[in-house]
Amino acid sequence: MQKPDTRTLDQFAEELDQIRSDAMSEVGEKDARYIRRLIGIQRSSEIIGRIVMVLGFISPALWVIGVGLLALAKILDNMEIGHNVMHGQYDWMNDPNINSRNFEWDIAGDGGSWKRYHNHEHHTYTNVIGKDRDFGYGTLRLSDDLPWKPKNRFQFLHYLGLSALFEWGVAYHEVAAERIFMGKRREVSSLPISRKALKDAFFKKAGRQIFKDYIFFPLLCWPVALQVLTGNFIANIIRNLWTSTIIFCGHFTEDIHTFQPAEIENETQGEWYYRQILGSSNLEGKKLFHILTGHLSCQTEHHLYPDVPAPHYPDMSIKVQAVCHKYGIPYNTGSLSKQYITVVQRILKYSSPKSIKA
Amino acid sequence: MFNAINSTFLNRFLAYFNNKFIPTLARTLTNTSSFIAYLEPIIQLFKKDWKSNHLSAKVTCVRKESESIYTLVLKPSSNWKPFRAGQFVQLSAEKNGSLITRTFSISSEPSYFKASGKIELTIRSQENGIFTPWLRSNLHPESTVYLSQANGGFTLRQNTTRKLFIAAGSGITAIRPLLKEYKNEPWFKQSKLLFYVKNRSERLFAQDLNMLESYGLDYKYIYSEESGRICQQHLDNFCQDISKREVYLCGPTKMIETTNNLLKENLIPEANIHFEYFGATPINIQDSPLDIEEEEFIQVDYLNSNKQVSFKPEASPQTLLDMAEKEGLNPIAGCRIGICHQCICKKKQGRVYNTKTKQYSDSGSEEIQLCLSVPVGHVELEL
Repeated sequence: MQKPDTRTLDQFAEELDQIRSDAMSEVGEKDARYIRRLIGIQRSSEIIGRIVMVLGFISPALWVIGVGLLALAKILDNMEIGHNVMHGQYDWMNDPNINSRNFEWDIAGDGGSWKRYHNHEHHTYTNVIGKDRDFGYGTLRLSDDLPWKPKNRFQFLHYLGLSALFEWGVAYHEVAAERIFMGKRREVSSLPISRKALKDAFFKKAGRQIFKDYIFFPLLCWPVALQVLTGNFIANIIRNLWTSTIIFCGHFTEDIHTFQPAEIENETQGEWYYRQILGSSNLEGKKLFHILTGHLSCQTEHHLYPDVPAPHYPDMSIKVQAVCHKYGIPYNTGSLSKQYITVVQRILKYSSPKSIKA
Repeated sequence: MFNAINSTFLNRFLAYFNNKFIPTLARTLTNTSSFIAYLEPIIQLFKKDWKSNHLSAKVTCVRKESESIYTLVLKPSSNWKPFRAGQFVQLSAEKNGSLITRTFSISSEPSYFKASGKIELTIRSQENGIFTPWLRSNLHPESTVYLSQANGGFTLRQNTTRKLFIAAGSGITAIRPLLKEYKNEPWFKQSKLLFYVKNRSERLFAQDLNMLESYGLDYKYIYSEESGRICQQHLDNFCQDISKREVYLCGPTKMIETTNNLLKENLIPEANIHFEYFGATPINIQDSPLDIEEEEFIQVDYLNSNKQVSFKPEASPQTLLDMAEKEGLNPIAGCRIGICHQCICKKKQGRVYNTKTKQYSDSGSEEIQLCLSVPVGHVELEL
């Protein structure tokens, strides 16, 4: 596909800017009420889930319900609440707890670390090989931009492991990039805090999470400690699998494009928008599905407008699609199953050295 | 002796327990700063106006004082503590989902609060302000607003010295409680009030002043549209024994500065001049480049690092992030284009221009992105 010229992309950018300002003019009380209510529901679900799980000694069904509620709470906390609040989507509320500076989520990864590499590296350099470490997370070969290595043969198993332990991937991401524990130190680092501070934050957050789910709550319910520990473990795994599946569908589907660092030098706003659209793919579904994905089902809109409150994305996506259609720019969307199959195909395809450049 | 040691130990233990152990436990178990912050959204499912870190107050009446000035009568919740005449509160209200906070003097006296459980805030509706006109038209009896505890040192020194009060415009709001609270004190009979207002229609609290006159207050309105701002002549005409008086000033920053200098020229010792700068006055938010030129100097106070810079505005304005880095401060920052939200910082007060939204902020306290913000006038940052 031919990249449109700069002038066309300037007009394209203007139309996308308009969609943004239209949406922002609607942001207000309704969004504030929505996020507060959702957090209220999420925390109720966590508390009830933890209690019902303990009652599992009465009937295993209660244990299953408890684990389900806890997993639901963890998914909501991770996706629709944590991810979006930490993107600054609700900073305008001036709420001391619901803002990108103070919010911390219920996963192993430290929110501060995530904000640095995700909001900055991933969102600015989306799918730029060598700059966006989210592309393959430094372990998977997902395009021919990376040379094939023998270990890639088994990368599907690797993917399954990463998926199940996804929160640890999030936790370890920046620590790995900065070679805190092993490897050759990065030549160019934009780490705005000291290496020690990064290491401390990593251990502190990971330690707190382990203590909470695997020591404190099990011991608190001593006679049924094992049942609580297993339940917490499973809830975390369910959340990890869900989160990772949704995120993989956002950037590693069949028609996703990758970019070289040279391509993004002196990028205009229009070119940036264009790259974000080619590098993202959407998932179609009902309202509840969008909420459970944290509206990352509208990955394209999220990448175009990372700080617009996410519940506005579905409406915006209709307008964005129309604009893309007008300019002949491909817009990638489909059902979860359809998109996920292409993700699996991509992981398999690039695990062998024979693939031909798409 | 034994008891004393025992109780220090106990106090230390309790302090550790409350200030260290409980917050750490809350952080660990809930990932929030306190258990109550964690429970807040659940409580709000049932009580929508409840907030863990704010005292609430019910509006009982919105009273018109003049075309542009109104009084909010509020009934604070029971944990709001008594105040002293002349103090201020921070009033917060949710405007379209966004919690906006401004500082206002309490314009009623403590004895009124004691008797009725109510306080009054008298507010000028700023023509282009984003908050004060909105408050006036959107608050009704039974609306909920939020208050801080009362604060501030503009209170009366209890002594027998004769007193002169000088107020300009809505500055009277801090002086009215002083007058009403102490109207029965012996010194009150010799007290004077000089009150600057724009014109006759802006004569705030005329009824109250009339009533206070019967207690011995000598007062005079000066219409600045006719007689101009404060000057030596005004003082000479109204108060011959000025050098023997203690003076209480309240009004806009410029007025306080001018009057303070004038009083010093009249040999009033500094210890006898009392005033407090009226912090957050909402300013108009029109998107015109003229706004920047209004302010002669730009000044940025970095409160946490005790640094201050001021300079003449330049043709190519700098962002607060660049400025802070030039000052050798190391604010955490990332993308520098407004995406990553790492450089968010609390602005205590002052106006900034947002280069992304192309809008001027209001002057109140809020979180801003340093990399997008250009200071306009005097800005205070928690940095």
